[in-house]
Amino acid sequence: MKVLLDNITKIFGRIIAVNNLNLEIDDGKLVVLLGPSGCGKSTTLLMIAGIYRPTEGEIWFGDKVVNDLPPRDRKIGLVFQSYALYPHMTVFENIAFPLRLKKENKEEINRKVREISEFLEINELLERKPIQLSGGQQQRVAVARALVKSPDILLLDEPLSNLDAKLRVMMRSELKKMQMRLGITTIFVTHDQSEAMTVADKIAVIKNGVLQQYSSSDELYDLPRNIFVATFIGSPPMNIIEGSIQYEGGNLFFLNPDVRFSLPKDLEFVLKQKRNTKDVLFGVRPEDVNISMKETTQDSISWIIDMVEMMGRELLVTLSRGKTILKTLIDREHSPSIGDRVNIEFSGRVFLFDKESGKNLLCEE
Amino acid sequence: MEVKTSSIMGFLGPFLLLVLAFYFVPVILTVILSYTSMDYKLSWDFVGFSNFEHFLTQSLTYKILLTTLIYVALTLIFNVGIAFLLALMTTYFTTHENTAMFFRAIWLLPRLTPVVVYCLLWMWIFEPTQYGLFNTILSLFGKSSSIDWFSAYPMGVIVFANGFIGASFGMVTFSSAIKSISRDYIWSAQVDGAGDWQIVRRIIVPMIKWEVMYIFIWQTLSLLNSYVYILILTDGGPLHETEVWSLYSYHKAFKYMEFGNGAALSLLLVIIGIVFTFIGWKIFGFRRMMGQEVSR
Amino acid sequence: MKDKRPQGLAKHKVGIKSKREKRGKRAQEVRGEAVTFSRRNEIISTIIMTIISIPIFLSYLWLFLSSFSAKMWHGLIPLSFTLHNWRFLWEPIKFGAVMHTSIWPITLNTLLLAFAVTFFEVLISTLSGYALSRFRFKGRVVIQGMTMILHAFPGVALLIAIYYVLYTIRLLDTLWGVMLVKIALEIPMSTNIVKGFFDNIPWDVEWSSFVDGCNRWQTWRYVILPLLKPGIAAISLFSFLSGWGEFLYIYTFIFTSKKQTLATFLNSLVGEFKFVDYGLLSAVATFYMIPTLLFFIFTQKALLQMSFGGRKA
Repeated sequence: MKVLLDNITKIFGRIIAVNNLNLEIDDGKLVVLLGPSGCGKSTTLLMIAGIYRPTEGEIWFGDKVVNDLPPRDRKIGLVFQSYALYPHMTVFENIAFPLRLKKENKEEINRKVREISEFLEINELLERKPIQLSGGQQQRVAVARALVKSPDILLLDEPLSNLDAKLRVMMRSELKKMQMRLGITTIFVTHDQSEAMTVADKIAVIKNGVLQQYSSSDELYDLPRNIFVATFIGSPPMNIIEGSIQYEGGNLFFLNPDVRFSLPKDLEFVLKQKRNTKDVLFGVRPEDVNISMKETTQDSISWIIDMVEMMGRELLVTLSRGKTILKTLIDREHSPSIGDRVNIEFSGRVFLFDKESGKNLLCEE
Repeated sequence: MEVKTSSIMGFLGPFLLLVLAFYFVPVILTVILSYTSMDYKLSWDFVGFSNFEHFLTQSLTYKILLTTLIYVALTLIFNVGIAFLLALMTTYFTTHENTAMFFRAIWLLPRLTPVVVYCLLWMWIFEPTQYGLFNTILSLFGKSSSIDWFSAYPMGVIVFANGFIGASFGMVTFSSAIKSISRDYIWSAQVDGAGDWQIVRRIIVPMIKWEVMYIFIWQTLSLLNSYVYILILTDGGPLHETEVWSLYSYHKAFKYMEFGNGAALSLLLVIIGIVFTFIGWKIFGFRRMMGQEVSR
Repeated sequence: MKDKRPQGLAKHKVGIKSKREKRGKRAQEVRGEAVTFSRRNEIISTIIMTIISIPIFLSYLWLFLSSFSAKMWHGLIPLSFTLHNWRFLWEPIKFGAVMHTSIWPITLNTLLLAFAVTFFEVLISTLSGYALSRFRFKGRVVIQGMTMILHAFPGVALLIAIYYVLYTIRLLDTLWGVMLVKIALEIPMSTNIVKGFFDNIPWDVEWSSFVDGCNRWQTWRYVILPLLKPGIAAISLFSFLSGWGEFLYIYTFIFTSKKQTLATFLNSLVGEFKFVDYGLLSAVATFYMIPTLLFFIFTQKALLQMSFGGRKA
């Protein structure tokens, strides 16, 4: 089922929770609503579920406007962060609950519950109470309850956030596998960008109720539309340095009192069209910064190592030069120590953002 | 934390002293008194089991037992029912918090009102002439003659008066229980296809069932032992129609000055109370053992 | 395993009432936004609530109105205004040949009883509640179990024995005796409530005060007590109203009419003027209700936050 949000706005009292949101979710795709807490992503999900009514705009399921349809008539399944398993019912009763409300007959209910619990490998647990289950099991039961009435759309509100880190990583790939097997249109809300990147066909990044960017994981990473998306996606987050751009002898430079970087030639063409922009934010991902211990005289740029943090396979090194700070991820073989002076070079893409609007200068309007 | 006995006594002394003087000693005295025929002369004349034998052979005792059971059962149903209704309506069904607050506050007022004033209100409500509230309401529906509620339906009078005051206790407990049910459950149920009525019946009621049990047991105990309102409103009359066990014991002691008899009666009542508490304790203890702390 | 939000915890926590109230408010608003929410059900429920509440608000309204009117249509709608019903404020009430005492000394008795009960009940229950919450000592569990059993031993069933105790310690027919009984029979419950408040004050706060050099008494005085203020305020309120409204113990243990309180005073008036002069009765009752109404109007929100299991019907 295709879902279309058409100019959706939601206002609670004086707070605008969701502001003029447009989103098209294709049939059978998994779309993630991603943003920091309080950004309006859960509100959006609850509007799709029919628990909130949009203040303005229309929600389309396929070719029908569903604004006035109560949740029970929307053919949706919903999984909460808390799972909301009814504590007074057994696992079986929990899963059967939606079917019983539809007054399906006993054999039918039995059959469907067995089927879905085999699919999710929880058929051993049917007689237990939710309190006797582990977090991962509870999560599966919640998913089973959402899926048992074969909904057109599956809604997941932070479904993995109550699990411990190891289980979370496991469950997210299982959820993705399950979604692909069933081919069910799924909307998944999370604040965790790495979770979003791994499961999503497409990600909608939302901030303060406004959609920032709606695209695939790759595009989000490679071509963030603005500074918010750039810093929100990727871990550790992108380095951002304030400064301005200047032409000197046909070359393009980014500079501030501490640093002076020469910028790649291919940026020139784009920037020429935006001649009036001078104050910019320079961005580069930590994984795209390399350091070398070799003394070079070129540009006479040298950075001091302020801090070295062990990140497992890699080291996160904080460099400073004057007031400018730069973080970089490097292999452990470098074994730098605090106080060392090093030089840097950029191995990947660099970004420029407009200081006023935060927009990526390299994106087309 | 380790503390000196003297400092414990500093903190707990007054408490223990009062409890000793007005709980423990009286409990023991009540037991002893029930084997005496003490009267207004306050002399200790032991008579063995004759007080109890006396009651067992009197038909009035059984009438009073029956009255007590009817009174407790009716009031219990009335006040737990109203309490649940009010709690549900002020939390689940009302979107305007001010309306909810208004009704909750209104129902709290009887509990804060001095006993005698509250009874005066009910005397007016059940006033036998056309000036009473219920008779006025009846006349609005075209009934011309007034009903003398106090002699026609004395049990109704005391059930209403006690029910209205008892409801607020359950209401407060139920409201906070319903309010603390996570909204996720309600929303889940809506998505699962439940309507308002089904949510009440299949989600809210099972989730607050421990609170309901607790209120039932608590109110049963309170009602077994409550007679002040009856004392003021009907004084047990007419003709023992509203004479409940505790009131009967009070009358024996302080109206007829038969302290021995009164003590025997209240001892029996205490035993009934202990049985109820024990049952309650069992149930709640059991609940803790099962690790079934209500999840919400 | 369950919703992690600490709702159960917040329920009894002191000092965060307003926050909780706001949250509750938002939850209500949110529900109104729901697509499923049926306005029809809300209207029906408001109508039902109004109907079952009729006896309450009409009777209080009647009490007030009738105290100021000479004549009322069907006992409900005032037809003329008078202050005659309030004559008891400046002259003694006559009933046939009997002359009642002036209301002022009786009011004073009532006030004294209420204040004394409040003061001692709050003092004793804070002390013992603290000890039961914080000290680990032999017999603590026994005392706690005992306070629970005492719920089942209502004071009223022990009245006869208490009569004998009061007689023995020569406090029968004194307000002091009534006061002691009243406090003693309420103290297990208020101790339990106060213990609950203490249980919600984290140990850390106390430990740091010990580290800072307080002894146990100083900790109690300078650290714990200020944190308890809302809880203590609530207990005081309830014990005041309960002392102010007390009837049974006065009725049973006081024989001298000079030592009466408003409760027994009004009760004897009711006995004489019932069905005769509701104007006078309602004026005295309204007078008696003044502190209750003041508390009710100014603190009802706080009252609603507190559950108050101790005050039995």
